[in-house]
Amino acid sequence: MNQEARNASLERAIENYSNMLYKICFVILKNEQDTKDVLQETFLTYMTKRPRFHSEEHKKAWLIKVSQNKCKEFLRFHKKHAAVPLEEVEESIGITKGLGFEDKEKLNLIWNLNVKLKTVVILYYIEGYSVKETAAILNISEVAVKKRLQRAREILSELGKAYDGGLVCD
Amino acid sequence: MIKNEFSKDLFSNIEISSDLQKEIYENCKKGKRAGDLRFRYSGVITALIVILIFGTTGAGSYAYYKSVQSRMEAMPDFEIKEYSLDLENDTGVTIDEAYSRKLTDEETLRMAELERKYNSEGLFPEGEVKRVATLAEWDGQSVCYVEEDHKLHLPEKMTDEQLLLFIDYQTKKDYVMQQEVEEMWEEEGVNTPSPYVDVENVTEEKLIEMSREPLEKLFGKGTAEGWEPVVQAFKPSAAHPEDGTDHDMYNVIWNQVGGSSNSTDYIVVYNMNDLSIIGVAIRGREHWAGLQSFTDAEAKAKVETDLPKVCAEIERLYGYKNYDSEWHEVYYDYTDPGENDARQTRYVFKFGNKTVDVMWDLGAEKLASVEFFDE
Repeated sequence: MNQEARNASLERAIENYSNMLYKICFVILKNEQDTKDVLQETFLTYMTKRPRFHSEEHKKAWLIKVSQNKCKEFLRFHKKHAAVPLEEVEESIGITKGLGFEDKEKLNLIWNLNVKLKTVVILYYIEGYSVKETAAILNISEVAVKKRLQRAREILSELGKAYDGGLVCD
Repeated sequence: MIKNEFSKDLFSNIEISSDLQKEIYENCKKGKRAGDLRFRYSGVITALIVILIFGTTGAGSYAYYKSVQSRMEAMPDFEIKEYSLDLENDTGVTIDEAYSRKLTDEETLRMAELERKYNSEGLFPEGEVKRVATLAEWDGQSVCYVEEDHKLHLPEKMTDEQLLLFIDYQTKKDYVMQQEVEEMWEEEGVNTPSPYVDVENVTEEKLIEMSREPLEKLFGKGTAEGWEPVVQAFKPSAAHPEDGTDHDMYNVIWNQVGGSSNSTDYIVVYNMNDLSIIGVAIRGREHWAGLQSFTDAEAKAKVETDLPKVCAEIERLYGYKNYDSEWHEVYYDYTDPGENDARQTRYVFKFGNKTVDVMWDLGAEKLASVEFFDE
Protein backbone atom coordinates (compact mmCIF):
# COMPACT_ATOMS: atom_id res chain seq x y z
CA MET A 1 0.00 0.00 0.00
CA ASN A 2 1.45 3.40 -0.85
CA GLN A 3 1.41 6.37 1.46
CA GLU A 4 -1.71 7.89 -0.06
CA ALA A 5 -3.61 4.65 0.33
CA ARG A 6 -2.35 4.31 3.90
CA ASN A 7 -3.51 7.83 4.68
CA ALA A 8 -6.87 7.12 3.09
CA SER A 9 -7.19 3.94 5.15
CA LEU A 10 -6.34 5.93 8.29
CA GLU A 11 -8.85 8.62 7.41
CA ARG A 12 -11.58 6.01 6.92
CA ALA A 13 -10.75 4.34 10.21
CA ILE A 14 -10.91 7.67 12.06
CA GLU A 15 -14.14 8.57 10.32
CA ASN A 16 -15.76 5.23 11.09
CA TYR A 17 -14.50 4.46 14.58
CA SER A 18 -13.17 7.55 16.34
CA ASN A 19 -16.56 8.55 17.68
CA MET A 20 -17.23 5.11 19.10
CA LEU A 21 -13.75 4.95 20.67
CA TYR A 22 -14.12 8.47 21.97
CA LYS A 23 -17.32 7.59 23.82
CA ILE A 24 -15.84 4.48 25.40
CA CYS A 25 -12.53 6.05 26.35
CA PHE A 26 -14.11 9.23 27.63
CA VAL A 27 -16.37 7.35 30.00
CA ILE A 28 -13.41 5.32 31.21
CA LEU A 29 -10.85 8.10 31.52
CA LYS A 30 -13.30 10.79 32.50
CA ASN A 31 -11.42 13.65 30.93
CA GLU A 32 -11.04 14.97 27.44
CA GLN A 33 -7.28 15.46 27.18
CA ASP A 34 -6.42 11.89 28.15
CA THR A 35 -9.11 10.62 25.80
CA LYS A 36 -7.58 12.58 22.97
CA ASP A 37 -4.12 11.21 23.74
CA VAL A 38 -5.40 7.65 23.86
CA LEU A 39 -7.18 8.03 20.54
CA GLN A 40 -4.13 9.52 18.89
CA GLU A 41 -1.95 6.67 20.15
CA THR A 42 -4.53 4.13 19.07
CA PHE A 43 -4.73 5.41 15.51
CA LEU A 44 -0.98 5.89 15.37
CA THR A 45 -0.65 2.21 16.26
CA TYR A 46 -3.12 1.43 13.50
CA MET A 47 -1.08 3.52 11.08
CA THR A 48 2.34 2.14 12.00
CA LYS A 49 1.48 -1.52 12.54
CA ARG A 50 -0.85 -1.75 9.60
CA PRO A 51 -2.48 -4.94 10.83
CA ARG A 52 -4.58 -6.96 8.44
CA PHE A 53 -8.19 -7.56 9.26
CA HIS A 54 -10.52 -10.20 8.01
CA SER A 55 -13.60 -8.05 8.53
CA GLU A 56 -14.75 -4.65 9.67
CA GLU A 57 -15.84 -6.23 12.95
CA HIS A 58 -12.33 -7.54 13.40
CA LYS A 59 -10.95 -4.07 12.78
CA LYS A 60 -13.39 -2.51 15.23
CA ALA A 61 -12.54 -5.05 17.93
CA TRP A 62 -8.83 -4.51 17.34
CA LEU A 63 -9.16 -0.76 17.71
CA ILE A 64 -11.15 -1.16 20.92
CA LYS A 65 -8.55 -3.57 22.23
CA VAL A 66 -5.71 -1.19 21.48
CA SER A 67 -7.54 1.76 22.99
CA GLN A 68 -8.38 -0.21 26.12
CA ASN A 69 -4.77 -1.16 26.60
CA LYS A 70 -3.80 2.46 26.19
CA CYS A 71 -6.45 3.46 28.75
CA LYS A 72 -5.12 0.83 31.11
CA GLU A 73 -1.62 2.21 30.78
CA PHE A 74 -2.87 5.69 31.47
CA LEU A 75 -4.67 4.69 34.57
CA ARG A 76 -1.94 2.45 35.81
CA PHE A 77 1.07 4.67 35.43
CA HIS A 78 0.26 8.28 34.81
CA LYS A 79 -2.92 9.70 35.99
CA LYS A 80 -2.01 12.84 34.15
CA HIS A 81 -5.30 14.60 34.42
CA ALA A 82 -7.69 14.21 37.28
CA ALA A 83 -10.92 12.45 36.55
CA VAL A 84 -13.72 14.93 36.25
CA PRO A 85 -16.96 14.37 38.15
CA LEU A 86 -19.98 13.86 35.97
CA GLU A 87 -21.51 17.11 37.22
CA GLU A 88 -18.57 19.08 35.83
CA VAL A 89 -18.70 17.29 32.50
CA GLU A 90 -22.40 18.03 32.46
CA GLU A 91 -21.60 21.71 32.78
CA SER A 92 -18.90 21.74 30.12
CA ILE A 93 -20.26 19.46 27.42
CA GLY A 94 -23.80 18.72 28.48
CA ILE A 95 -23.18 15.00 28.74
CA THR A 96 -26.66 14.26 30.10
CA LYS A 97 -28.47 16.82 27.98
CA GLY A 98 -31.76 15.45 26.73
CA LEU A 99 -31.55 12.31 28.84
CA GLY A 100 -34.43 11.36 31.11
CA PHE A 101 -33.98 11.12 34.84
CA GLU A 102 -33.44 7.37 34.82
CA ASP A 103 -30.90 7.49 32.04
CA LYS A 104 -29.04 10.25 33.84
CA GLU A 105 -28.84 8.06 36.89
CA LYS A 106 -27.71 5.06 34.86
CA LEU A 107 -24.97 7.11 33.30
CA ASN A 108 -23.96 8.36 36.69
CA LEU A 109 -23.76 4.78 37.95
CA ILE A 110 -21.58 3.68 35.08
CA TRP A 111 -19.44 6.81 35.34
CA ASN A 112 -18.56 6.00 38.93
CA LEU A 113 -17.95 2.29 38.54
CA ASN A 114 -14.51 0.83 39.10
CA VAL A 115 -12.59 0.96 35.81
CA LYS A 116 -12.32 -2.81 35.37
CA LEU A 117 -16.04 -3.23 35.86
CA LYS A 118 -16.86 -0.22 33.76
CA THR A 119 -14.90 -1.47 30.76
CA VAL A 120 -16.71 -4.78 30.79
CA VAL A 121 -20.08 -3.10 31.24
CA ILE A 122 -19.48 -0.79 28.29
CA LEU A 123 -18.35 -3.52 25.94
CA TYR A 124 -21.03 -5.99 26.97
CA TYR A 125 -24.02 -3.78 27.57
CA ILE A 126 -23.39 -0.74 25.43
CA GLU A 127 -21.39 -2.11 22.52
CA GLY A 128 -23.21 -5.43 22.57
CA TYR A 129 -20.24 -7.76 22.56
CA SER A 130 -20.71 -11.27 23.91
CA VAL A 131 -18.85 -12.56 26.94
CA LYS A 132 -16.45 -14.40 24.67
CA GLU A 133 -15.83 -11.36 22.49
CA THR A 134 -15.39 -9.10 25.50
CA ALA A 135 -12.89 -11.56 26.94
CA ALA A 136 -10.93 -11.60 23.69
CA ILE A 137 -10.87 -7.82 23.40
CA LEU A 138 -9.71 -7.31 26.97
CA ASN A 139 -7.40 -10.30 26.92
CA ILE A 140 -8.96 -11.79 30.03
CA SER A 141 -10.75 -15.06 30.57
CA GLU A 142 -14.46 -15.51 30.02
CA VAL A 143 -14.77 -16.38 33.69
CA ALA A 144 -13.22 -13.03 34.56
CA VAL A 145 -15.72 -11.25 32.31
CA LYS A 146 -18.62 -13.07 33.91
CA LYS A 147 -17.33 -12.29 37.40
CA ARG A 148 -16.92 -8.61 36.57
CA LEU A 149 -20.36 -8.44 35.00
CA GLN A 150 -21.86 -10.10 38.05
CA ARG A 151 -20.08 -7.69 40.37
CA ALA A 152 -21.13 -4.72 38.24
CA ARG A 153 -24.72 -5.95 38.27
CA GLU A 154 -24.61 -6.21 42.05
CA ILE A 155 -23.24 -2.73 42.45
CA LEU A 156 -25.58 -1.22 39.91
CA SER A 157 -28.47 -3.01 41.49
CA GLU A 158 -27.56 -1.83 44.98
CA LEU A 159 -27.12 1.72 43.78
CA GLY A 160 -30.06 1.59 41.47
CA LYS A 161 -32.46 0.46 44.15
CA ALA A 162 -32.10 3.85 45.70
CA TYR A 163 -34.08 5.28 42.85
CA ASP A 164 -37.64 4.81 41.82
CA GLY A 165 -37.88 2.30 39.03
CA GLY A 166 -34.41 1.10 39.96
CA LEU A 167 -32.42 -1.31 37.89
CA VAL A 168 -33.63 -4.85 38.04
CA CYS A 169 -30.96 -7.42 37.60
CA ASP A 170 -31.35 -10.90 36.29
CA MET B 1 -33.07 -7.62 32.31
CA ILE B 2 -30.38 -5.08 32.92
CA LYS B 3 -29.01 -5.51 29.43
CA ASN B 4 -32.16 -4.10 27.96
CA GLU B 5 -32.04 -1.12 30.23
CA PHE B 6 -28.80 0.24 28.84
CA SER B 7 -28.51 1.66 25.42
CA LYS B 8 -26.02 3.56 23.34
CA ASP B 9 -28.24 6.59 23.81
CA LEU B 10 -26.72 7.00 27.24
CA PHE B 11 -23.55 8.14 25.52
CA SER B 12 -25.25 10.10 22.78
CA ASN B 13 -23.97 13.43 24.04
CA ILE B 14 -20.39 12.30 24.10
CA GLU B 15 -19.17 13.02 20.63
CA ILE B 16 -15.81 13.64 19.10
CA SER B 17 -15.56 16.98 17.34
CA SER B 18 -14.64 17.13 13.68
CA ASP B 19 -11.72 19.37 14.64
CA LEU B 20 -10.35 16.70 16.94
CA GLN B 21 -10.82 14.06 14.24
CA LYS B 22 -8.82 16.23 11.86
CA GLU B 23 -6.14 16.87 14.46
CA ILE B 24 -5.73 13.17 15.18
CA TYR B 25 -5.56 12.40 11.46
CA GLU B 26 -2.92 15.05 10.81
CA ASN B 27 -0.86 14.01 13.82
CA CYS B 28 -0.98 10.31 12.96
CA LYS B 29 -0.11 11.00 9.35
CA LYS B 30 3.05 12.72 10.57
CA GLY B 31 3.76 9.94 13.03
CA LYS B 32 3.38 12.34 15.91
CA ARG B 33 2.96 10.77 19.32
CA ALA B 34 0.46 11.97 21.89
CA GLY B 35 1.45 14.73 24.25
CA ASP B 36 1.78 12.42 27.23
CA LEU B 37 5.40 11.46 27.67
CA ARG B 38 4.51 7.98 28.77
CA PHE B 39 3.54 7.23 25.22
CA ARG B 40 6.83 8.40 23.88
CA TYR B 41 8.92 5.51 25.03
CA SER B 42 9.21 2.87 22.45
CA GLY B 43 11.13 -0.17 21.65
CA VAL B 44 11.99 -2.72 19.11
CA ILE B 45 10.63 -5.30 16.74
CA THR B 46 7.31 -3.80 15.89
CA ALA B 47 6.30 -5.65 12.81
CA LEU B 48 6.65 -9.22 13.96
CA ILE B 49 3.54 -9.35 16.09
CA VAL B 50 1.44 -8.32 13.14
CA ILE B 51 3.11 -10.77 10.85
CA LEU B 52 2.74 -13.62 13.28
CA ILE B 53 -0.86 -12.95 14.10
CA PHE B 54 -2.30 -11.65 10.93
CA GLY B 55 -0.19 -12.63 8.03
CA THR B 56 2.41 -14.69 6.39
CA THR B 57 4.39 -12.00 4.68
CA GLY B 58 7.88 -12.89 3.61
CA ALA B 59 10.16 -12.18 6.52
CA GLY B 60 7.93 -13.53 9.23
CA SER B 61 7.10 -16.81 7.62
CA TYR B 62 10.43 -17.78 6.20
CA ALA B 63 12.54 -16.76 9.16
CA TYR B 64 11.70 -19.76 11.27
CA TYR B 65 14.59 -21.94 10.56
CA LYS B 66 14.78 -25.45 11.68
CA SER B 67 17.04 -25.01 14.69
CA VAL B 68 14.95 -22.12 15.94
CA GLN B 69 11.78 -24.09 15.48
CA SER B 70 13.28 -26.98 17.44
CA ARG B 71 14.34 -24.58 20.17
CA MET B 72 10.83 -23.22 20.42
CA GLU B 73 9.23 -26.64 20.49
CA ALA B 74 11.65 -27.80 23.16
CA MET B 75 10.53 -25.16 25.64
CA PRO B 76 9.41 -26.82 28.86
CA ASP B 77 5.89 -26.20 30.09
CA PHE B 78 6.95 -23.91 32.91
CA GLU B 79 8.76 -21.65 30.45
CA ILE B 80 5.77 -21.51 28.14
CA LYS B 81 3.64 -20.55 31.12
CA GLU B 82 6.08 -17.78 32.02
CA TYR B 83 5.88 -16.31 28.54
CA SER B 84 2.14 -16.75 28.49
CA LEU B 85 1.93 -14.80 31.74
CA ASP B 86 4.24 -12.12 30.35
CA LEU B 87 1.91 -11.76 27.39
CA GLU B 88 -1.11 -11.55 29.62
CA ASN B 89 0.57 -8.86 31.69
CA ASP B 90 1.70 -6.74 28.80
CA THR B 91 0.28 -3.32 29.37
CA GLY B 92 0.37 -2.36 25.73
CA VAL B 93 -1.03 -4.17 22.79
CA THR B 94 2.19 -3.88 20.85
CA ILE B 95 5.31 -5.73 21.79
CA ASP B 96 7.51 -2.66 21.56
CA GLU B 97 5.82 -1.34 24.65
CA ALA B 98 7.17 -4.17 26.75
CA TYR B 99 10.73 -2.93 27.18
CA SER B 100 12.31 -0.42 29.49
CA ARG B 101 13.97 1.53 26.71
CA LYS B 102 14.31 1.79 22.98
CA LEU B 103 17.29 0.13 21.35
CA THR B 104 19.88 2.50 19.99
CA ASP B 105 20.53 2.52 16.26
CA GLU B 106 23.87 0.84 16.90
CA GLU B 107 22.16 -1.92 18.89
CA THR B 108 19.51 -2.30 16.20
CA LEU B 109 22.18 -2.84 13.58
CA ARG B 110 24.05 -5.30 15.79
CA MET B 111 20.81 -7.08 16.64
CA ALA B 112 19.96 -7.50 12.96
CA GLU B 113 23.33 -9.14 12.41
CA LEU B 114 22.90 -11.41 15.44
CA GLU B 115 19.37 -12.31 14.37
CA ARG B 116 20.72 -13.62 11.10
CA LYS B 117 23.12 -15.84 13.03
CA TYR B 118 20.38 -16.84 15.48
CA ASN B 119 18.09 -17.85 12.63
CA SER B 120 20.47 -19.43 10.21
CA GLU B 121 23.44 -20.59 12.26
CA GLY B 122 21.79 -21.52 15.52
CA LEU B 123 23.72 -18.94 17.51
CA PHE B 124 21.76 -18.87 20.76
CA PRO B 125 22.50 -17.16 24.07
CA GLU B 126 24.34 -19.17 26.66
CA GLY B 127 22.23 -17.92 29.54
CA GLU B 128 18.62 -17.10 30.29
CA VAL B 129 16.81 -13.85 30.89
CA LYS B 130 16.74 -13.18 34.62
CA ARG B 131 13.44 -12.78 36.38
CA VAL B 132 12.89 -10.76 39.53
CA ALA B 133 9.82 -9.68 41.43
CA THR B 134 10.60 -6.02 41.97
CA LEU B 135 12.57 -3.35 40.19
CA ALA B 136 14.69 -2.89 43.31
CA GLU B 137 16.03 -6.40 42.77
CA TRP B 138 17.32 -5.67 39.28
CA ASP B 139 21.06 -5.09 39.21
CA GLY B 140 20.86 -2.63 36.32
CA GLN B 141 23.47 -4.60 34.40
CA SER B 142 21.49 -7.59 33.13
CA VAL B 143 18.63 -8.22 30.75
CA CYS B 144 15.92 -8.86 33.28
CA TYR B 145 12.16 -9.33 33.37
CA VAL B 146 10.64 -7.44 36.28
CA GLU B 147 7.31 -8.81 37.41
CA GLU B 148 6.42 -5.62 39.21
CA ASP B 149 6.04 -3.58 36.06
CA HIS B 150 5.86 -6.44 33.55
CA LYS B 151 8.72 -5.13 31.47
CA LEU B 152 11.94 -6.49 30.15
CA HIS B 153 14.60 -4.19 31.53
CA LEU B 154 17.66 -3.54 29.44
CA PRO B 155 21.04 -2.34 30.71
CA GLU B 156 22.44 0.94 29.43
CA LYS B 157 24.67 -0.84 26.94
CA MET B 158 24.10 -4.38 25.73
CA THR B 159 26.75 -6.96 24.91
CA ASP B 160 26.21 -9.44 22.08
CA GLU B 161 25.22 -12.10 24.61
CA GLN B 162 22.64 -9.73 26.07
CA LEU B 163 21.30 -8.90 22.62
CA LEU B 164 21.00 -12.63 21.96
CA LEU B 165 19.07 -12.98 25.23
CA PHE B 166 16.83 -10.19 24.03
CA ILE B 167 16.31 -11.86 20.64
CA ASP B 168 15.67 -15.21 22.27
CA TYR B 169 13.19 -13.75 24.74
CA GLN B 170 11.29 -12.03 21.96
CA THR B 171 11.31 -15.04 19.66
CA LYS B 172 9.99 -17.30 22.41
CA LYS B 173 7.36 -14.82 23.44
CA ASP B 174 6.19 -14.44 19.86
CA TYR B 175 6.12 -18.19 19.45
CA VAL B 176 3.96 -18.65 22.55
CA MET B 177 1.68 -15.85 21.40
CA GLN B 178 1.34 -17.40 17.97
CA GLN B 179 0.41 -20.74 19.51
CA GLU B 180 -2.16 -19.11 21.78
CA VAL B 181 -3.71 -17.09 18.98
CA GLU B 182 -3.94 -20.12 16.74
CA GLU B 183 -5.55 -22.14 19.52
CA MET B 184 -7.97 -19.35 20.30
CA TRP B 185 -8.97 -18.90 16.68
CA GLU B 186 -9.31 -22.62 16.23
CA GLU B 187 -11.60 -22.81 19.27
CA GLU B 188 -13.65 -19.90 18.04
CA GLY B 189 -13.77 -21.20 14.52
CA VAL B 190 -12.22 -18.04 13.14
CA ASN B 191 -11.48 -18.45 9.49
CA THR B 192 -9.02 -15.86 8.30
CA PRO B 193 -9.18 -15.47 4.56
CA SER B 194 -5.76 -15.10 3.07
CA PRO B 195 -5.13 -11.93 1.10
CA TYR B 196 -2.87 -13.90 -1.18
CA VAL B 197 -4.02 -15.43 -4.41
CA ASP B 198 -2.41 -17.54 -7.08
CA VAL B 199 -0.04 -15.99 -9.53
CA GLU B 200 -1.79 -15.69 -12.87
CA ASN B 201 -0.76 -14.42 -16.31
CA VAL B 202 2.91 -14.79 -15.35
CA THR B 203 5.08 -17.20 -13.35
CA GLU B 204 6.86 -16.63 -10.05
CA GLU B 205 10.17 -17.30 -11.77
CA LYS B 206 9.45 -14.62 -14.34
CA LEU B 207 8.51 -12.09 -11.67
CA ILE B 208 11.70 -12.82 -9.74
CA GLU B 209 13.76 -12.37 -12.85
CA MET B 210 11.94 -9.17 -13.75
CA SER B 211 12.62 -7.71 -10.31
CA ARG B 212 16.40 -7.84 -10.61
CA GLU B 213 16.68 -5.02 -13.11
CA PRO B 214 14.80 -2.31 -11.14
CA LEU B 215 16.78 -3.20 -8.03
CA GLU B 216 20.07 -2.95 -9.88
CA LYS B 217 18.92 0.31 -11.42
CA LEU B 218 17.84 2.05 -8.22
CA PHE B 219 20.14 0.56 -5.63
CA GLY B 220 22.93 -1.00 -7.65
CA LYS B 221 21.85 -4.07 -5.77
CA GLY B 222 22.87 -7.51 -6.88
CA THR B 223 20.70 -10.31 -5.58
CA ALA B 224 22.74 -13.30 -6.58
CA GLU B 225 24.04 -14.33 -3.19
CA GLY B 226 22.74 -14.02 0.34
CA TRP B 227 19.25 -13.08 -0.76
CA GLU B 228 16.16 -15.12 -1.31
CA PRO B 229 13.05 -13.91 -3.10
CA VAL B 230 9.45 -14.38 -2.04
CA VAL B 231 6.60 -13.69 -4.44
CA GLN B 232 3.24 -12.57 -3.17
CA ALA B 233 0.19 -12.28 -5.32
CA PHE B 234 -1.62 -9.72 -3.25
CA LYS B 235 -5.20 -8.98 -3.95
CA PRO B 236 -6.55 -6.84 -1.12
CA SER B 237 -9.75 -6.14 -2.98
CA ALA B 238 -10.84 -9.69 -2.20
CA ALA B 239 -9.80 -10.12 1.41
CA HIS B 240 -9.32 -6.57 2.63
CA PRO B 241 -11.94 -4.33 1.13
CA GLU B 242 -10.80 -1.50 3.37
CA ASP B 243 -7.60 -1.33 1.37
CA GLY B 244 -9.44 -0.43 -1.79
CA THR B 245 -9.66 -2.17 -5.10
CA ASP B 246 -6.90 -0.55 -7.03
CA HIS B 247 -3.92 -2.23 -5.51
CA ASP B 248 -4.02 -5.70 -6.88
CA MET B 249 -0.36 -6.41 -7.15
CA TYR B 250 2.50 -8.80 -7.26
CA ASN B 251 5.17 -8.21 -4.65
CA VAL B 252 8.65 -9.59 -5.10
CA ILE B 253 10.46 -9.30 -1.78
CA TRP B 254 14.15 -10.00 -1.50
CA ASN B 255 14.94 -11.16 2.01
CA GLN B 256 18.32 -11.72 3.53
CA VAL B 257 19.10 -15.34 4.22
CA GLY B 258 18.56 -15.76 7.97
CA GLY B 259 16.97 -12.34 8.25
CA SER B 260 14.07 -11.36 10.42
CA SER B 261 11.31 -8.79 10.17
CA ASN B 262 13.88 -6.25 11.39
CA SER B 263 16.30 -6.91 8.58
CA THR B 264 16.77 -4.79 5.54
CA ASP B 265 14.85 -6.12 2.57
CA TYR B 266 13.97 -4.95 -0.92
CA ILE B 267 10.61 -4.97 -2.59
CA VAL B 268 9.54 -4.59 -6.20
CA VAL B 269 5.81 -4.23 -6.84
CA TYR B 270 4.06 -4.93 -10.12
CA ASN B 271 0.56 -4.20 -11.30
CA MET B 272 -1.22 -7.54 -11.41
CA ASN B 273 -3.05 -6.74 -14.61
CA ASP B 274 -0.44 -5.35 -16.95
CA LEU B 275 2.80 -6.13 -15.08
CA SER B 276 3.79 -2.47 -15.09
CA ILE B 277 6.03 -1.52 -12.21
CA ILE B 278 4.33 0.20 -9.26
CA GLY B 279 7.19 0.58 -6.87
CA VAL B 280 10.72 -0.24 -5.77
CA ALA B 281 11.89 0.25 -2.21
CA ILE B 282 14.41 -0.62 0.45
CA ARG B 283 12.80 -1.30 3.83
CA GLY B 284 13.37 -2.60 7.32
CA ARG B 285 14.36 -1.34 10.72
CA GLU B 286 17.93 -2.33 10.11
CA HIS B 287 18.04 -0.05 7.08
CA TRP B 288 16.36 2.74 9.00
CA ALA B 289 18.83 2.45 11.89
CA GLY B 290 21.70 2.96 9.48
CA LEU B 291 20.36 6.27 8.17
CA GLN B 292 21.83 9.54 9.31
CA SER B 293 19.71 11.64 11.67
CA PHE B 294 18.91 15.28 11.11
CA THR B 295 17.18 17.90 13.19
CA ASP B 296 13.81 19.10 12.06
CA ALA B 297 15.29 22.42 10.92
CA GLU B 298 18.14 20.74 9.03
CA ALA B 299 15.73 18.38 7.31
CA LYS B 300 13.40 21.18 6.27
CA ALA B 301 16.29 23.14 4.84
CA LYS B 302 17.52 20.08 2.96
CA VAL B 303 14.09 19.45 1.49
CA GLU B 304 14.57 22.62 -0.55
CA THR B 305 18.24 22.25 -1.38
CA ASP B 306 17.93 18.57 -2.30
CA LEU B 307 14.97 19.08 -4.62
CA PRO B 308 17.12 19.59 -7.76
CA LYS B 309 19.11 16.46 -6.88
CA VAL B 310 15.92 14.43 -6.47
CA CYS B 311 14.62 15.69 -9.82
CA ALA B 312 17.92 14.87 -11.49
CA GLU B 313 17.82 11.33 -10.13
CA ILE B 314 14.24 10.78 -11.31
CA GLU B 315 15.12 12.04 -14.75
CA ARG B 316 18.33 10.00 -14.94
CA LEU B 317 16.70 6.78 -13.79
CA TYR B 318 13.17 7.03 -15.15
CA GLY B 319 13.16 9.80 -17.73
CA TYR B 320 10.60 12.07 -16.05
CA LYS B 321 11.39 15.77 -16.16
CA ASN B 322 9.73 19.17 -15.73
CA TYR B 323 7.11 18.26 -13.20
CA ASP B 324 3.72 20.00 -13.18
CA SER B 325 3.49 20.10 -9.42
CA GLU B 326 5.40 18.97 -6.37
CA TRP B 327 4.88 18.70 -2.63
CA HIS B 328 7.04 17.26 0.10
CA GLU B 329 7.21 16.34 3.75
CA VAL B 330 9.83 15.31 6.28
CA TYR B 331 9.84 11.75 7.57
CA TYR B 332 10.98 10.88 11.06
CA ASP B 333 11.85 7.61 12.68
CA TYR B 334 8.35 6.80 13.89
CA THR B 335 9.65 5.29 17.11
CA ASP B 336 10.98 8.69 18.08
CA PRO B 337 9.30 11.36 16.03
CA GLY B 338 10.92 14.27 17.77
CA GLU B 339 12.78 17.23 16.45
CA ASN B 340 16.13 15.53 16.07
CA ASP B 341 15.49 12.37 14.17
CA ALA B 342 14.52 13.17 10.61
CA ARG B 343 15.91 10.52 8.28
CA GLN B 344 14.08 10.84 4.99
CA THR B 345 11.96 13.21 3.00
CA ARG B 346 9.10 12.37 0.73
CA TYR B 347 8.46 14.11 -2.56
CA VAL B 348 5.36 13.65 -4.68
CA PHE B 349 5.60 14.87 -8.26
CA LYS B 350 2.95 15.12 -10.95
CA PHE B 351 4.13 14.60 -14.49
CA GLY B 352 0.99 14.91 -16.58
CA ASN B 353 -1.28 12.07 -15.48
CA LYS B 354 1.57 10.21 -13.78
CA THR B 355 2.34 10.60 -10.08
CA VAL B 356 5.85 9.76 -8.92
CA ASP B 357 6.10 9.35 -5.17
CA VAL B 358 9.63 9.01 -3.80
CA MET B 359 11.44 8.73 -0.48
CA TRP B 360 14.78 10.48 -0.33
CA ASP B 361 17.55 9.37 2.00
CA LEU B 362 18.67 12.69 3.50
CA GLY B 363 22.10 11.49 4.58
CA ALA B 364 23.18 9.49 1.55
CA GLU B 365 21.28 11.79 -0.81
CA LYS B 366 19.81 9.03 -2.86
CA LEU B 367 16.39 7.58 -3.52
CA ALA B 368 15.12 5.05 -0.98
CA SER B 369 11.90 4.23 -2.80
CA VAL B 370 10.01 5.12 -5.95
CA GLU B 371 6.33 4.54 -6.62
CA PHE B 372 4.40 5.25 -9.81
CA PHE B 373 0.68 5.88 -10.12
CA ASP B 374 -1.63 6.86 -12.93
CA GLU B 375 -4.38 9.39 -12.40
